Amino acid sequence: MNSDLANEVRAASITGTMVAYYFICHRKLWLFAKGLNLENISGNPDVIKGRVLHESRFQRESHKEVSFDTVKIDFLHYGDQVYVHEVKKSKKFEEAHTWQLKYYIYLLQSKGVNCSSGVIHYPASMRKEEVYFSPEDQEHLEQTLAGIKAVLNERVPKKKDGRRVCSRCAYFDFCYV
Amino acid sequence: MSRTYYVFSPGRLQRRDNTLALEFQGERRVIPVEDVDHIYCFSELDLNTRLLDFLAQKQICLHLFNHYGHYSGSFIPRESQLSGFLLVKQVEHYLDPGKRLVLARTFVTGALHNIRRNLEKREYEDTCQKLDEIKEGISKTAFIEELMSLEAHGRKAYYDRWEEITGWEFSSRSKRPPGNALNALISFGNAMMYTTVLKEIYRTALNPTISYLHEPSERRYSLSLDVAEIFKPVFVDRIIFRLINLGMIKENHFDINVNSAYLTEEGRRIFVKEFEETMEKTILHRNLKRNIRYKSLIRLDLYKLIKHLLGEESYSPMKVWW
Ligand code: SF4
Repeated sequence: MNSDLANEVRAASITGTMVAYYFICHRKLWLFAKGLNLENISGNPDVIKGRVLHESRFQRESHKEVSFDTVKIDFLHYGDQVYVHEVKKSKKFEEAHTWQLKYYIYLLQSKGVNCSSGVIHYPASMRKEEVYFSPEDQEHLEQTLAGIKAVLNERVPKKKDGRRVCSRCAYFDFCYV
Repeated sequence: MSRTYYVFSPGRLQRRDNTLALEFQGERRVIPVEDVDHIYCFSELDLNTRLLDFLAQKQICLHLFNHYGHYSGSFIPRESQLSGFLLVKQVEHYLDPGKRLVLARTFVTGALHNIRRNLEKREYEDTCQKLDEIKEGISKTAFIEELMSLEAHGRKAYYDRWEEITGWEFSSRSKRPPGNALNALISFGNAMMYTTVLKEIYRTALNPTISYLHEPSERRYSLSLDVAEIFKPVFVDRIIFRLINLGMIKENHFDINVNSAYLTEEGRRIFVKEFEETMEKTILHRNLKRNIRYKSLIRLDLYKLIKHLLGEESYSPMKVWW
């Protein structure tokens, strides 16, 4: 494991949300990282649903919301190794969520924790998806982290790209007004 | 989570378990805390820190007005939105005289445009022409003071029409205290606008203390004054004209003395009701292509201002199109 990069990542304060946003929209990533978080004020129904979901599900788990470095994990599960769990509203951004979870595994590994897989829960559709962190994933993740850093170094926000994701995005009014 | 609650008569506001209760004259009213985000208090109210702590937790702002309807201050929950990056940009646009002037001019031109629209509808062509000349002058101003004096000229030309529009005595703008009923209405309305803008500023990452047209030292939340300039003609002034022209507000809604005038409790109720109804009305937004509330126009303008500060797009303020 490239521990230099892991340290650098920590210094750049890359959060799990930022990793997910990198796969959803670079503009959203930039705005979010600069502290311009519109999720809480937009009144976007998807955001509200998501929050309620986080507050109500998996209340019984004992390791809810584990925070370390710059990330906050929904809950951990201990067996012969550690398993990371994330709760998500819909499968729409599955790729983004998968990489978010892989990033957590990566950070745990960099701390010497024995962890290489996890589960994404989609309680709304009563499904779950297992995620396994492979050696090839590590390389891809490191490229992703470098990509995130490049986005954050931009002086102005990335242009909006008018893709279909915009219409339900909490940043829509900001981008399109 | 977006209702405003108004308190007009004296009483006690307190936290009762997980909700708010207003007691007055031996009666208790429970206020569902989840859908309130704004409380305006126009009369004496007993409250304690336990209540304030609860308001902070629920992200509710409390605005206090004194006996005369003057705005005295706000209790604002600790900021939740913070962006060091945006703060730096805000300061940069203040410190650089060129950049500051661009924004200051924008606020004035926006305000004058919206003022002009109020006159245009009433066919006061000569005043409209005067405003156009002033607008042209604005693009040539090199200093804030110059800009301020042009704005004052524009406003005076506008106010000179108010006696005709309303049929009420006006003479000129007087503030502390308002000299007559019309002035009292303007002061009260402007205070309502100021706090409404302030609340929207708090929901964005903008810092309300850094402003461009007004000096940041003028008032604690002077950015609110800047932005309110744009919206006052559209909301406050039009409400005043409507209330007077429809005979909804009359002389007996004021406490009038030799050199001061204030709205009575009943008068405030009438104004606030109209203000509230106006802000909740919806209109089709041309860029977003959907209906939005009038009050959301304020937030959208703040978004545009943020984009300007980020160096993305020049800010062009809301120009009333109805
Ligand atoms: S509205 Fe579109 S461009 Fe803007 S942040 Fe959302 S997804 Fe990105």
